[in-house]
Amino acid sequence: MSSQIVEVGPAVSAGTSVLEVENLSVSFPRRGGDLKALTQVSFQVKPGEVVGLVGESGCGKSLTALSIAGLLPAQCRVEGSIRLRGKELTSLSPTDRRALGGQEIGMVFQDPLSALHPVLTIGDQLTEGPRRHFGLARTAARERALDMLHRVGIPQTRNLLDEYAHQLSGGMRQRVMIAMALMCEPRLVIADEPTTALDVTLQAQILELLRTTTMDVGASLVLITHDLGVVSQVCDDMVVMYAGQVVEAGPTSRVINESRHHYTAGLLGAVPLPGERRRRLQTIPGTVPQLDRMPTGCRFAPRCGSADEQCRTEPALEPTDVGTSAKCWHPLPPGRGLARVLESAVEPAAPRTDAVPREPLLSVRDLRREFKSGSVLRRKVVEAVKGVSFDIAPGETFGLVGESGSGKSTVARMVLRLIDATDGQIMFDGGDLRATRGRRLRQKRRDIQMVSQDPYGALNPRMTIGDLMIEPFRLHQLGEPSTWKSQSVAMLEEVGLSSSMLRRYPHQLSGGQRQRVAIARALAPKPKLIVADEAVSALDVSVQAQALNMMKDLQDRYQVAYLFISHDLSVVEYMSHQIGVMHLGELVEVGSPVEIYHHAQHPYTQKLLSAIPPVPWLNAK
Amino acid sequence: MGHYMFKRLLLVLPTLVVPIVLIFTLLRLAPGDPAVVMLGDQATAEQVAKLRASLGLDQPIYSQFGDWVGQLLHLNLGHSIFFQQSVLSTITDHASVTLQLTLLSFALAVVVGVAGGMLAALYRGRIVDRVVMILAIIGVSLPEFWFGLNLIFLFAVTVRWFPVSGYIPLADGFFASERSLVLPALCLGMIQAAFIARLTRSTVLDVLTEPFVTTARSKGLPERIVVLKHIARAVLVSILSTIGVILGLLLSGAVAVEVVFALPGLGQLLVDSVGRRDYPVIQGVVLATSLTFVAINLLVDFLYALVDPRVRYE
Repeated sequence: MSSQIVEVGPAVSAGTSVLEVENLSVSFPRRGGDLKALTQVSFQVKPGEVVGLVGESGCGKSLTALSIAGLLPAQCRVEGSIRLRGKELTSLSPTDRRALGGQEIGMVFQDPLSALHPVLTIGDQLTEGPRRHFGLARTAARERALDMLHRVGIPQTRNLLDEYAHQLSGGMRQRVMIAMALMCEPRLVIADEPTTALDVTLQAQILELLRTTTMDVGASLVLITHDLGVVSQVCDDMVVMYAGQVVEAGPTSRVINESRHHYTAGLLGAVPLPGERRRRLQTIPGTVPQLDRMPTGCRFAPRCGSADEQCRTEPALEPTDVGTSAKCWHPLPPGRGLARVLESAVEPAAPRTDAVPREPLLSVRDLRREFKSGSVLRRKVVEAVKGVSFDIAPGETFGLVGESGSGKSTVARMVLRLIDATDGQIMFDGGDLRATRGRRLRQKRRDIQMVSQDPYGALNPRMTIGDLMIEPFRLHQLGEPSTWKSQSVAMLEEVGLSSSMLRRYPHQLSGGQRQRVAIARALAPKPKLIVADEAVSALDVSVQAQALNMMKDLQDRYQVAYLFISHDLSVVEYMSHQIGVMHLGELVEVGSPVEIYHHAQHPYTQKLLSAIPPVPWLNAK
Repeated sequence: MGHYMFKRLLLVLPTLVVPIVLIFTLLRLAPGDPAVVMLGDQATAEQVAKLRASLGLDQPIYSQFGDWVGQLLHLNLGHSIFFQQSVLSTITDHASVTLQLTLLSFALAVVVGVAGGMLAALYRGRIVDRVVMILAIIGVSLPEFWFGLNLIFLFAVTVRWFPVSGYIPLADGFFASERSLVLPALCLGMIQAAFIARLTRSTVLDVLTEPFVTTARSKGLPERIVVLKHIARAVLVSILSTIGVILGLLLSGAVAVEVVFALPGLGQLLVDSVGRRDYPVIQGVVLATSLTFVAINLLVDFLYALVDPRVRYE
């Protein structure tokens, strides 16, 4: 079993590591056999080191974090060893375990708004840890909290202690969360997707803050993320997890530039890189296996192009030629990691030939929207969208980027006529959309469809996929009722799903499959425009790549135009013919991807661009 | 905060108009004539007409309504036809019993309901949960009068721990007085406790999945503190509004219970007055109850602003 231990860097004797996880397995008891969620996970974290746990959702990253922190549900069975500064945690009583964990391990969670208590003050939440563990008096604890808030970059002039989470901005909340994790000066900080819920311009800043303040108190950091850019930015070592196992581990730059495991390489290829608009994204077919349907042998084999007979038995996590370790029978040869990805990036795709300017399909002029709130006496007017103008040509994609609250979604909802514009013009397909009402508007809606961010929320949980698919046909009376079923099957096949889906319910599908159904539904009436509001944001990297490729293919085939809204600049660049940058309700810059990315004029665009590492993998630590 | 309270207070005024109109019209729509009832079967038509005139019942409906509203504006609820005294003092005579009964059963319902619901949620799927939930199902299905009669049979007739019926005023000693109300309060409170328990259980189960609970645990706080501070605070905030409604339900439930236990409260008064067609008293009692209902909801709104900082800043 010793080969299962990941040797990170030069061999170190036990005891010098802050954290040693060895052969950690976690299972959930269930009738008809336990569900094994983690299988023999091993890695270590040395003092002052940042280790990234990477993988898609369902791979066991968060579960690993919860096991280390002792926060697993009581019915979980844990095997293996977790040593914190040489002390075995798994043999402690639950009470001791939790108390020790609170002092020595600090946790930072994904969404600071829901991770902070809604009706307890910030001060109360910050001080209860040290008051409990160190017996600090109220005033002393509050002083300590103020000091910690200062260290995470909250000005001393601002006293947050008596405020509540909802009064703070998103960035401020995550700073408070970081301060809270550091209050007892722990030896280890575990951050689970700490920047995923934040705006792009904040992400880099908060990540750096997390790293420096953690190092400042002398703690090591375990960073859990699906974002390879984040890993390359701050992690010394990385551990790639797949289906509850460690599949590759080692120093970050080596794992990224010289990946040996096919999954790691696949993940790298699935991310759109800046400037690679024409490249077809590399995808990993299929999805992460479910716990009760784990393949035997190599768990990645069913999705791997190089799998053969040998892969039916399980490979061990073994040292590679570049000082990393990988769990694969057929490790990739040297130079196949990132280098391979960049090579394939050059693959030229035929550029659009029809340079002839065409009538725009959608033409938005000086669009405005105000939201009124407050009482009659204290009327508050918020200008969410302040005079936005842009055109979308038929069959093209207009990408809209900006932070949350910039008015992107409000624009989308006005174009969809879900809300009315306060002022301005929306010309669609030669008609004035704002003046269209009643039956005419309902007919028009056939031509403008939408795909929303959350496919689970968008599909009625009590309807089968078959019912959901027939709905658009019935709604718009598309063809003879007898053909609806065959048409829906054809549509499902168009998005890569089979007719076996028809009888299933949304919850029985994976996130990627659900989004495909949502896209198929939007495509069913053969619309001229699809408004996709953060349509791929909730998807995992490899699934996101599948969805993006599919949306591009469908565009080529059906000449559908997209209004593609996202906070992810690389994704927008990858998808769009024209990009608009929104900031505080205004469209501050519109241009082609090249213009936006290489010759950004507006300071806000430049700020937005500087927030993402230019080519994350190349400057990996 | 002050602004918020002022706004709430203003919103109460239109709410008051509705019960005033409803009470008056519903009562006049009901069959029966108070003059006939008061004078009995032997009365001649002239006697009835005379009494009707003296009571103002011969006036057109709208002028009767106008008179009543006019009185209300002077805080005068009118004169009881039966008691021959002001409605206001009739109500205050009976109100203390009902108030005592409602508060006692309310305390019972909240303590038992919240505790039971929290226990059931924290031990979800275990035997505690099963027992609490079965009791809760039985509780919500019980009719008050039937449950009351059984309580009397069991605790007053068979083991004789409590009096069968009747009320001992507070003036005759606090404990003696409360003792006379234990069975009625049990009868009234347990049924609502069942509601609260079910609500609390599902709210706790929701809160348990909230990330801030994991945050609290990650700080190394003992489970006792996580439950009593972090979970309980959040749960109380979300069940507060329902608890306000339940206080109102107790008030109306008191009618049946007072009849069963022969308590001289507002419920008893209301039932008797309906039989006597004592319009002013019926109107007065129902109006007082409606006002209490509105006041409770106002109180809940203010409490919300106190316990949930998010409300204050809206």
